[in-house]
Amino acid sequence: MNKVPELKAKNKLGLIFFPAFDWEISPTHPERKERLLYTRDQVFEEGLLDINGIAEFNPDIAEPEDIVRANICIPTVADICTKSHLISAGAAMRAAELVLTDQVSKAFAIVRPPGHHAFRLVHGARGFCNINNEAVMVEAIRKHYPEIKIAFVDTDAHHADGTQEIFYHDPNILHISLHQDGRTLFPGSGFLNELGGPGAYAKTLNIPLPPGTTDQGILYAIKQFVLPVLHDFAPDLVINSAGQDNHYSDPLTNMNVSARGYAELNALLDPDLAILQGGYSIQSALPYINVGLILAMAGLDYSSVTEPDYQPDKLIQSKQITEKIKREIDQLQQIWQQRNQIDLEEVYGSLNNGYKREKRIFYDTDQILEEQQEALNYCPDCPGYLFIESQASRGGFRKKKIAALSIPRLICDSCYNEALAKFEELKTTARQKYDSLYLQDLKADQYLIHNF
Amino acid sequence: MIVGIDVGGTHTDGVLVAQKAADSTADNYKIIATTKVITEQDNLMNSILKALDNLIEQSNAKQIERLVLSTTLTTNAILEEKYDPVGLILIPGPGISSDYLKYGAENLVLSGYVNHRGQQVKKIEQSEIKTGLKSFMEKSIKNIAVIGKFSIRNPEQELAVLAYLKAAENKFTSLTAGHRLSGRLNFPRRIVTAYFNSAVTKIHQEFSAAIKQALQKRRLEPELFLLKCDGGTIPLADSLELPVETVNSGPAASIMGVMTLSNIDQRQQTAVSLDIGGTTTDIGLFIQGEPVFMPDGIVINDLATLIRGLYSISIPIGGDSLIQVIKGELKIGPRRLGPAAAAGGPAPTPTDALLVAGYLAEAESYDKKFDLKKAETALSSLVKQLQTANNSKNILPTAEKLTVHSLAELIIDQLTDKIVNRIRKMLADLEDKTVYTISELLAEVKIEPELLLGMGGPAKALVKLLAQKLNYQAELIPYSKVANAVGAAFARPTITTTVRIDTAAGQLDIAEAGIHRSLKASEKFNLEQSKKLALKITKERSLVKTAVEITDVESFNVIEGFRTVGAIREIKAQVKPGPIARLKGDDQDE
Repeated sequence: MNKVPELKAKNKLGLIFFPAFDWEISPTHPERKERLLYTRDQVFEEGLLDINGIAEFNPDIAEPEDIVRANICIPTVADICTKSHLISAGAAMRAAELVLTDQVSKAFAIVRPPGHHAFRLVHGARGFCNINNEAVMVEAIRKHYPEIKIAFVDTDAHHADGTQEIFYHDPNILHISLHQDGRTLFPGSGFLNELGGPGAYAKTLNIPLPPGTTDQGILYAIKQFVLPVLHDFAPDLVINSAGQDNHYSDPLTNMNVSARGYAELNALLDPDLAILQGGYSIQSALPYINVGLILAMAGLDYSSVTEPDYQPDKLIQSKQITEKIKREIDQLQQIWQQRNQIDLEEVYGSLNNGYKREKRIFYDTDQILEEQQEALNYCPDCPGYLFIESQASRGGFRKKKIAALSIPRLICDSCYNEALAKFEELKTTARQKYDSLYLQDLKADQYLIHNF
Repeated sequence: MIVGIDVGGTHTDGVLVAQKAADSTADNYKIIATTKVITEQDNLMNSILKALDNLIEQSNAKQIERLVLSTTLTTNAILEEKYDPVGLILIPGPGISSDYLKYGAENLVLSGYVNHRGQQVKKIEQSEIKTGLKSFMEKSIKNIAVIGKFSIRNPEQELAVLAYLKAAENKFTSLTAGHRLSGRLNFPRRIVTAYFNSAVTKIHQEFSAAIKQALQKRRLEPELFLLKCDGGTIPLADSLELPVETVNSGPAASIMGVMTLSNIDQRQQTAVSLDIGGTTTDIGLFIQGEPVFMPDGIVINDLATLIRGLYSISIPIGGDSLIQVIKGELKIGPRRLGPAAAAGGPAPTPTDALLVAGYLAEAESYDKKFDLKKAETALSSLVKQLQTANNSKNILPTAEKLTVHSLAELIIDQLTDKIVNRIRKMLADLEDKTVYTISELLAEVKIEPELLLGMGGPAKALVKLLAQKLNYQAELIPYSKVANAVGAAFARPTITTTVRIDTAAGQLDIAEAGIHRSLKASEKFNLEQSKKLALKITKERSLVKTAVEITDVESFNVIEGFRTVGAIREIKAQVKPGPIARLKGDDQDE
C-alpha cells in the first residue's frame, strides 16, 4: 500500500456541529430544518471528522441564568427562548470552554439559530435571531475571566447590530463588523460613524462594503485595517462571527465572495473561535464555505476547496468598488490612529448628564416595533451602568412598558451603589410609569424582575 | 447438522450442532462435537479441514447442511500486505487534496465531479482513462478500484469507468466500484475500503475454490457461509463480490457466540461481555439484548473504513500477561513471555496471582497442571523487587509487610481496576455520541448494563470480582472454549439497505443494491411509501425470513426560491445480526 502523507491538523480543532435538523422558523423560511443538511453531507463525504486533530463535540444546553447575563428577555426567558436557542447559546459556550480549558486550540461552532441581531433587550425574534448566542458566551467566559479582552470580527453580510449594541459601551470588547452597506440591506445600520459609546470609543468599528465586493475587497479590508487593529488591541481571544452570506450565490444579499475567499479570510484572522451566523445559500455555498473554514481553522490546506460552479473571471470587482473600499479604509485608519487623542465631548456632546440613545427597533421576524431610550451613566472610572426604558407594539397593540438597569461586571463601587439605589427607588415610585422593572446585575450575578 | 469453524490467531475452534432428536421443533439444537486445533498461519485451509474432519469423526456425521466459516484469511492478507498491487482510479472533484488519498500502487485522478445532490457537475474524460490505463498495464496492475466522491448519490461515473475497463483488452483480476461498499458518506473511507476489497479478491477466490474442492472430496454438500465483521453471514458465492466484508470476523464470532450461548437477545438485557484470553481481553456490549455496532466503520491496519462491524474493544491484558516491577511500580502487560509460571512459564502472570490468592480453586477445569509452588516463587521475586525499590508508592500494605498473598490480591485489584475503567470509558464514549437534532440532544442517553457475561480461561475467577466492582450481575458463558465457533454456526445473514429518494431531482438511489434510476411520474414516494420501499428491498435482498427493521429515517424538503419543489428522504433498513436457531437443553456445562 502506497504511503500517503498523514492529514493531521496543525491546530487541534473542536467542532461543535449542531444542525438542529428538527427546528425551523417556518418550512420555507431561510432558517429551516435543512439549512445545514448539505453542509453535513459535504463534511461527512470529505471525511473531515476522521482527520487527526479534529474532534467533534455536542453542544451544552444553556440555562436561563446564562441567557439573562446577556439578554434581558421581555417578559421572561421562557417567552423568548425555545430549546433551540438554549442549545445554540450552549454550543457557543461549549466552544469557548473547550478553548479556554485547552482541550483544543481552536473551536468552530456550526450551529443554528444565529444570534448577532439580538439586542440586549429582547421582545422577540429579529433578523432570525432571538438570543445573542455570542454575547451569552462572552458573559459565560467573563464569569471566570472578568478582565479578558475579546475581539469580534463579524463577517456576515448583515451588520451585526445586536452584538454591537450589547457591547457598545464595553471597553474590553472590540467589535468589528464587515458587511454589505446598510443602505442596501437589512438591518440598515453599521456605518463608519458608529464607533461605540464615550467609554469605549473606537471599540466598535464598521466596514460597510459596497454590493458586488469580491474576495479582493474583503481581504483588502482585513489586511489593511482589521489585522493592524487586532495587533494594536492585543485581545486575549479573537472570535470570528462566521456568517457566510457574503457568498456570490447567497439569495438574500448582493456580494461576490467565494468559499476560498472566506477560508483565506479566516486563515488571516487566525481566530480562536468561530461561530456560524447567517448564510442561506444552503446548497451552493455553505457546504464549501464550511469545509474551507474547518480546514483553515485546523491549519490545513484549503486551496483545492471550491464551489463546483466557481468561475473567478465572472467575479471581478469593479474599479469603483475597489476605490470606494480604499477610501473607507483610509478613513477608518485615521479614526483608529487618532482614537486616543479624541475629545469625547466633541463627539458625544456634554457628558455631565451621561449619554443617551433613542432607538426604534423593528423586529422583522416577529413584526414588533420597539421604542427604546438607553441612558448610559457615564463614568470616567468604569464602563458605567445603563438605564433602559422600552415599549413595544405588535400589530398596533401596545405591549407593556418596562424599564431596566443593566450593570456591567467591572462597575466601580460608587456607580454600583447608585444603580442599586435607583432600582430600589423605582420599585417604590415608578408604579404609574412602568409595568415591570428589570435588574441585570452582572457584578452580583443576579437578575431580578419586579412586576408592579 | 451445522458446523461452525472459527480460525483464530493461535487456535482454530470447531463445533458441530444437531437438532435434538427427541424434539420436533426446528430451532432446538444441541452440541454434538467440539474441537480445537492449532492454527497453521501459512495454511489456514489445513486448519479448517483438520477441525472439520475431527468434528465429522467424533459425530459420525454423514452429511452436514450448513457450514459457516470465520477466517482470518482476508484480515491477514491486509495486515501483512500479501496481495498483488492495487491501482486506484479516483474522481475527487474539488475538496481535500487527493494527494492524501493516493493509496494505490498507481493512482489515476480523473477530472469528473458529482455534487452532494448526486448531480453531475463535470463529466469524466475518456482520454484520461485511456492514458491512465497504460500506466496500469506497464506496472501489470490487475486489481483496480474506482471511487468517486458522492458516488453513492450517483454511481454513473464509476460505472462508466468500469465499463471502459471491462471493454479493454487486458483482463483484470478484480474491479471494485466504490458505491457498492456502503450507503454511507465518506470519500476517504470509501477509497480505503475499495482498495482493500480489490486487494483481497484474488486470495478470497482461491480460498473459495479450495474449500469447495475439499468438501467435494469428502462428499459433503453443505450450504457454505462466511461470517462477516457485522456478526452476520453471507453465502460464499455472494461474498466474492465484496470479500472485504469478511475481514475482522473474529470479534464478531465471539460476540455472536456470547449471544447464542447466553440467549441475551431473547432476554433483552443490557450487558457487557468479556472474553479474557492469554494476552488480550475483548470487551463487547449488548444494549437490551442487541449487539452494538461501531459508530462509523471498523479501523483496519490503522485505516478507517466503511465496513460495518460489531462494537468490540481489545485491551492488552490477559491471564498470561507479563507482570513486572518498573520504577517501583507494578506493570501488567502488554507483553506475554509465555504461559503462567504455575504452568512452567518464565515469569509471573495474573493467572499466578489468581492461583496464589485462592481464586482458581473452584475453577480447576481451567488447567489441571498448575503448580502453586512455582506461582509463589514467581510472585516472591516481585515482592523482593518492590521491597528494594525506593518509591513503592502504589503499594497499600507498606512494602516491608508485603507478602506473596497480599501482592497477589494487589495484582488482582490492579488488573480488575484496569478492566473496569476501560468498560466505564467505553460506556461514557458511547453515551457522548454527537447528535444533530434537538430531540436527541435533550434525550439523555444512559447505558446501564446489569450483567457481565464472561468467558475465556481466567474468566471464572475474574468475572465475579469484576462484576462486584461494577455492581453488575456475573454470568459465565458455557462452552466458552468454542464460543466463537458456536457464534459462527448460528449467525444468520445480515443485510443493510440505504434508500435515498430525491423527488426534486427525480432520482432513486439504493447504493448497496446497485439501484440508480429516475423516478417515474407516478412515483411520489411520501415518507410512508419510502419506508415501505426500504423494507421491501431489504426483504428481497435478505436470504432468511427474519424481521426487517428501519434504523434511520431522514426527510427534508427541498426549497427553491421560497417554494417547496420536492423532498429528500433517506431510509436505512437492516436485518440485524442474530441466531438462526437456539441451543437448548440442560447439558450446557462443559
